[in-house]
Amino acid sequence: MKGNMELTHSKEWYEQRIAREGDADIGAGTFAAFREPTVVPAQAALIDTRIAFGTFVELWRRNRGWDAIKLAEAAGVNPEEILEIEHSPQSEPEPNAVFRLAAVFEIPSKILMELAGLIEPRTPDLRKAAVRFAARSESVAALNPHEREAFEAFVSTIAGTARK
Amino acid sequence: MVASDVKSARIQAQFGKPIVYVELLAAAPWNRSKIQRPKRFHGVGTVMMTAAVQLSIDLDYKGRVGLHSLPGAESFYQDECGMTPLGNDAAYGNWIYFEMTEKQAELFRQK
Repeated sequence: MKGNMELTHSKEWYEQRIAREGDADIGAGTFAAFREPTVVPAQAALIDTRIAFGTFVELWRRNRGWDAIKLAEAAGVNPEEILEIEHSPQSEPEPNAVFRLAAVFEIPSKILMELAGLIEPRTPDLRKAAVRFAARSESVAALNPHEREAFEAFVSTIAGTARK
Repeated sequence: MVASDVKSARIQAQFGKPIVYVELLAAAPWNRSKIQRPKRFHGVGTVMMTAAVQLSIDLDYKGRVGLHSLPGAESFYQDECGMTPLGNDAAYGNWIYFEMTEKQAELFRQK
């Protein structure tokens, strides 16, 4: 994270915006709410983990130039399962499907199960690494050089985690 | 304000991409008109949201920001900040989750 932040708007910009804000309530964030029984932190974290998992699966196949059907065939799972993993973080993926995908990706199944939110987190940096590599991806058919570089860096992270 | 940079976007157009997530955004009691009149400083929400968007830009997240609005503050995030409400989030006390896209961040900075 960078040191000093520069807020470069003009005084007039702030005056106009502040006038519009008026006396509106502006509270946000669940930082304090985690003390409330209605909020379930583990469930909340799970959604973010699965978004990163879905992004990883999508970029892995795109890195090979595969569509979802080809990956489904290679793993022996339904194409719908692949699409659900990639785009529906609310859904819990089938452990068997994740296990089969790990075999296709040639990465330890425990790491992929963790990324899929199916087992307790043991490597806190794993999801962070997954989210960071997703920062450099775009929704296009093939990976551009930046995406490929980010993807390969993340795969190295996975490999490094597996060796620990 | 407390913000983190390890959450992912939920809007389809930027799904999976990192966002600056606002963990906590609150005005001090002396800056809330419901507690003190006149309040000491005005526009605290605007200034902090500006900082969140700038942080996102500095991190190369292109202005993508996400947050859960406290009940009662939804119109500020939707109408004044131009964020998209993505519905009540059962994982977060049923509060409404809002997200700002890159385009919305651009508009926010121009308004």
